[in-house]
Amino acid sequence: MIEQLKDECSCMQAFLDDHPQILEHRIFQGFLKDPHYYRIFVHAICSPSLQTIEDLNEAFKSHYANVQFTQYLSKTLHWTSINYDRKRRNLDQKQILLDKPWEDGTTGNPLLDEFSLSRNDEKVNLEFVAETNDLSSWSSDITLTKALLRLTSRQRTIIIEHYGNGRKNSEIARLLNISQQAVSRTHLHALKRLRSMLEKEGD
Amino acid sequence: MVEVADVQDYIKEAQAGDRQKLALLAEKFEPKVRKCLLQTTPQERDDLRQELMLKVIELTLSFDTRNVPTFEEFKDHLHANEPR
Repeated sequence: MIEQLKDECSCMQAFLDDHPQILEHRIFQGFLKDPHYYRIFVHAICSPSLQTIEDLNEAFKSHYANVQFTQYLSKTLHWTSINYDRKRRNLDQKQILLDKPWEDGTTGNPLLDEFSLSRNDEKVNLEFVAETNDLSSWSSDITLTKALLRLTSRQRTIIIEHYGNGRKNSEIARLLNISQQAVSRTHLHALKRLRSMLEKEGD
Repeated sequence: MVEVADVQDYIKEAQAGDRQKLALLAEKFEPKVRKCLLQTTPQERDDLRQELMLKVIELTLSFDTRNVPTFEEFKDHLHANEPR
């Protein structure tokens, strides 16, 4: 690039000797890559006049604005998307804290603990609160409750562990000492049976 | 990337209320936006896309094109920083 420029005219040679580091600047390198801008530059240096210098100034401004704007926007978009995902993950974690009590029976959230304490004080009837291990309390729909209770004990255990405690198939398999495939099969079988019982009831 | 003839003019015209120029500028960033969407899970992508497009519009309308240097200013600035 330097050789090609120096061949243009003697003024260019003098200019490059006066400003050795201008060609190392990335914005300027990008500027010269555009053949149109390149010509404007050579024209302004080799035959300087008010008009050619003004053209070069305008062309450079337009190039600089383009680079600055593009970089500024790209960076902002990048960070916006990273922050967005971070916020979403934090939110997900908070939700897990809220819907699963800690081992000591508190929720880990002072506000919620106070809330549940005050509810106890008012002797709220807690009978209607669903118990994870009691399938008959899961649904207020009588047909569905009946159907759930008609499953085999293994099917019930898998349903409770999967949907109630949110365990993975592999964890349930270890718990029951059966294979993962067996858990999956029994699970699907249980759902199929529930569906057929509900459909029969619906007729 | 969509080639935009003169970004500076497009930004000025978009800021003056030219919706078509604004749309063209936003389109220029479509590949970047698509790349950014990979930062999050598939079910979040529509929401993130909206947020990113809003950002593009917001930044385009507030971008200040006045402090862009001319060639001479750029050259003098380099010269001033030159070690002697």
